[in-house]
Amino acid sequence: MELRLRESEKQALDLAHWLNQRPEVQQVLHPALPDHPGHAIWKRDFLGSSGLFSIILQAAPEAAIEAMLDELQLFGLGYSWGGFESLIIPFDCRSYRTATQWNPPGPSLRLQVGLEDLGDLKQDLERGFAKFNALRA
Amino acid sequence: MKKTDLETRKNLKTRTKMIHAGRQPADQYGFVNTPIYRGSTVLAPNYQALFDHSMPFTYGRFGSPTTQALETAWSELAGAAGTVLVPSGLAAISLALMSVLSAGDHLLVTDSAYRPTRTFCDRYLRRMGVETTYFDPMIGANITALLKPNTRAIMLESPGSQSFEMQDIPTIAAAVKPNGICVIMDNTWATIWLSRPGPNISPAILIFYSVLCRPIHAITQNCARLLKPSACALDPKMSIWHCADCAQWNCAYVNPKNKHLILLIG
Repeated sequence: MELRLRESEKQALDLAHWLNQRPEVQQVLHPALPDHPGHAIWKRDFLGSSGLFSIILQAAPEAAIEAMLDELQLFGLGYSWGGFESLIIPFDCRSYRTATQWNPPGPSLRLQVGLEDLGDLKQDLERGFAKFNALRA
Repeated sequence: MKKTDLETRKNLKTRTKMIHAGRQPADQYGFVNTPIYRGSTVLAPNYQALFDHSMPFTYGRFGSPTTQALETAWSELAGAAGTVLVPSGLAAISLALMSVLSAGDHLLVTDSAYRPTRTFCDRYLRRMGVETTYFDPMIGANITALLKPNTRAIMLESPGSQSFEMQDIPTIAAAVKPNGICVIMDNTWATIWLSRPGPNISPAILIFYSVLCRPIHAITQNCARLLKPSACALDPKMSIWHCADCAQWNCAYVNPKNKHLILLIG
């Protein structure tokens, strides 16, 4: 269990940093990244991170998200997380927040990073981004 | 092989505990893994034993050596006073809330909580006469402004579900401590390995969705449900502990076979 968690952590961090450099991505919501607003608290209270984080993409019509996610072959479209396989889901907290406002500048995706080869996972996302970009304008 | 004792285990590193927690091979003829005990009826050795609480197990639904082994292992790993195993993450959240709250109580819940937690509060708890107030996950010590005379519990989750806001758990817990409010934390993301809010938060219930259980589904097709989370209490004096235990007996029993598989795989 601990071994798998550490591996997930490593994989997710690598992918989070990679996504942070992608032009399609506006923000990576991963507390272990230094530019995350909660990074100081994470560093103080946590011993590591798990394989789950979110990203905010550049503003785009829903069709661009749909095309991106439908193009993915390794990232499954599924709920839950913590398994050995990579998953991705779109989410939107706007409809149910009551005490605070959730106003991301673009569409939001949550990623569960599994134990697959990182090169393969990045290639999968690159294919998705190509579709995203084609419909973004 | 010598029997390992709790004192020795306390000083072991997490990785070592992961391998040995909950196992007592010396009690089972040296076999490494805890056997699966099935069934509901447990026979008493004599008349007196029916009444003197001397039997470690009295009925299958109240637990077996198999279920106890995993609960013990989990408590050891979490540094908890006790563990109640339930069949899903939402069951752990619901059970923790139901164990603490009564009609007429007020509950504080972070606005970044897992959405099904909100649904449980807004529908079920509301119907049972519990009022929920959601608060800004970044509220910190200002949480005291939301306290009411009947506030009984506060539900935290950090990082926030999907949105990943980091809550200042020690500050919030310290702020509500003088009011004796039960702190409940959904510790799904971090697990017991990456975050342990510690004994200073008391009384507290920690809820863990244990990531470790996912692969079991792949290995055994006949597991109808996955055993995911557990609710751990950090304070041994908690009266709510009994409520959680009772609720588990009544509605959240977990198949011993699932637990056995988790012990095997770790």
